Amino acid sequence: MHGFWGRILHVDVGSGRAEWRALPEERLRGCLGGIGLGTSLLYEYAPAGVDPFAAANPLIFVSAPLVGTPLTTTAKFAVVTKSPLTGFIADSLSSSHFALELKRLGIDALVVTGRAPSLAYLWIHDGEVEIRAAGELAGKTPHETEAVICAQVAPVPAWVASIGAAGEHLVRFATISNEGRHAGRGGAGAVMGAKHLKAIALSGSHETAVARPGEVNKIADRLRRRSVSSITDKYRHLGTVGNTAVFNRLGVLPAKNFQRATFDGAEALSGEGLAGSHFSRRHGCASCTIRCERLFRSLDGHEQRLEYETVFALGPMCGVSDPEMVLEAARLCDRYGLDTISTGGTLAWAIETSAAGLLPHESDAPPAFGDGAGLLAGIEAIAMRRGIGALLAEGSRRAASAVGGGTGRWAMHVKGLEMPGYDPRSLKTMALGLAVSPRGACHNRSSAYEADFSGAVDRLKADAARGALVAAAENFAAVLDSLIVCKFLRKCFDDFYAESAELLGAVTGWALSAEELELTGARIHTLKKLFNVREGWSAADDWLPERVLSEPLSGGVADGVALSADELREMIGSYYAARQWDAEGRVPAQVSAACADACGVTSALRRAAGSDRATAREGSAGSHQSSR
Amino acid sequence: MTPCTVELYGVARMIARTPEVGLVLPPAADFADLFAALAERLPALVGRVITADAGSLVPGYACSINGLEFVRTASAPVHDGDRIVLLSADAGG
Repeated sequence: MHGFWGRILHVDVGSGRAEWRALPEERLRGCLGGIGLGTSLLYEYAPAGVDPFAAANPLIFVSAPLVGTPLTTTAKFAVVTKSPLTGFIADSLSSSHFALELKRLGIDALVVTGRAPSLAYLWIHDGEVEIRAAGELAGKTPHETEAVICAQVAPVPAWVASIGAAGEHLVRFATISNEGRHAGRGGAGAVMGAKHLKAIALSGSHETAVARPGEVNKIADRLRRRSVSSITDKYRHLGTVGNTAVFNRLGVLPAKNFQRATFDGAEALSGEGLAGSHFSRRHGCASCTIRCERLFRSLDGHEQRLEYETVFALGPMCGVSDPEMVLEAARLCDRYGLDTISTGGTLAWAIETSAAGLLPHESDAPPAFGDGAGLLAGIEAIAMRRGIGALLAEGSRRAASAVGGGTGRWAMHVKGLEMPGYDPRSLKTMALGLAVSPRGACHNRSSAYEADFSGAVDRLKADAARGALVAAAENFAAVLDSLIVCKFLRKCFDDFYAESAELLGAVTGWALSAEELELTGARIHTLKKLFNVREGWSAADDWLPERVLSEPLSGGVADGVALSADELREMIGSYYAARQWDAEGRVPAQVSAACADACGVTSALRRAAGSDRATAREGSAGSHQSSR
Repeated sequence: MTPCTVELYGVARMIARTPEVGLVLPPAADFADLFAALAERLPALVGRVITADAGSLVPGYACSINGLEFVRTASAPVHDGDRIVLLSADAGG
């Protein structure tokens, strides 16, 4: 087999049992690698209805066919599990040397189940699997943990992914970190913490074999040249923080918990502003020619990575405009292993709830928008689950539910996942993408904002054409995330599906058409949906926060622009129709069966269907009894 | 004549070293006229943001009229007093 190894490693960290299992090539062709294969394995390994913190919830690290090839931006891996924040699929991507080492283990995925008796780390090296005690690593930052473990396993070279204090404390939006990067959204770090697993260290020696090396090299050269052209100027010269100022100008930069879509302090937090005031150096992932990372230096000398989403969530979202405070807040999130978007979103909820006098333990909470010191204290409290942090560590949806009093209207989330930095009122295609995403309020699994910024649609007006656009964008992203290719390379393809089919064919030896690859994207997306359906999804989960649907924007170019519930409902209907799902968003049985068959999860689907029928019978009996 | 202002964001601003520039275009001007005038005023943008023939933007850049409507063709008209936002075409991140 080329591009894949055709096997996975399953480790139960409770019993210590390690088991290698073959993966048929047809299954890999059906769902590729990365997010696709991860979703397939999640569907198979997670018992229906499993508690995300239960030992049985699998935490799955997935490689992909392009990893280890000369193709730029492909040193990436996926982390897939059932999210403790949403109760649905959590699929995250991270990158760099850990991704390369995962592939060098000679496996396509690592499935971790069980719960270690006490804090431990997993050390996998050339066919050996060890579970080592990690008591001395408790409370250490991911960076410190990587250093300690690398020293312990020396002279064998290793790459490490680990959790910080937030993961250990089961903060529901904790991340898994490697080399300063994060599998960020959905709380995979908390799932790892629930397994008492502080870290995973890898060292492998298997080299990736491709079917047609000459062809792969030729395509790699072509993409490498395009990757350093003007198409990627923004990423190469400014990084994603280049979004801040222009998003403010376009009225799409959410501020003060989505009260506004403009922010007075945006220039100080812009890529252009920070480049002059705080820039330290440019950096990049392994095997990447774009090198989008920007490191900034605070006045006290700390060097810190900043991304647009982090700047948005810890800056405008919380009303903070001081770059020093945002840098320190980002540094704390990295040290504790916290998703910056959910951290900012949950703290913004706390600020509004506190202002209304409804937050318990008020002394611990940031008292007002713009209070940088309060923001830092709030982050510490969340990571340690201290005081009010114990409530906020649950995320905005659960916190609002616990506090009650109508505070849910300030919880800006979809399916429990806090909103990213794109205001849906002034980006109508994005509004739909956020509402229907299986992951929750996610900007990455459709990048539906692309249509809004393209000029092909009126971004301020909703219409029934958006469903097809979002479905197509999701399919595109599903392929990108399963090959895996970095999103920042996506515009370097002239014809994405045709070129990707050519590329995947050269790597795997498969004869693939563009159409087959596009259908594969749709299938992967459908499988995510099927997982969510199995875990209790209903049409009510595809919706946006009340504020977005009831408060028009004020200020900026989008002043007065609104999004009504009827407009959203119409767009969602058009999306379900584009997907050929029924009016309630349910996947037809024939489509489910075909999808499950191609992705190798037919028996799991049948088990779930059998369980549904049994539940329906029980429900029917219960209903009958109560009627008596 | 058609007076207008070009606001520069991102890499365009860094290259031009200015956040905005005022231009006066001929009557009934379109975006091809605007790019030509901008190239003359800010020659550092030529080849980096504006094509060498000054007739359009290079791939990766886009324009929005008054921050609302994205421009899809160089034949789109520029109106008196327009503020043209010159930005990266890729909003990812």
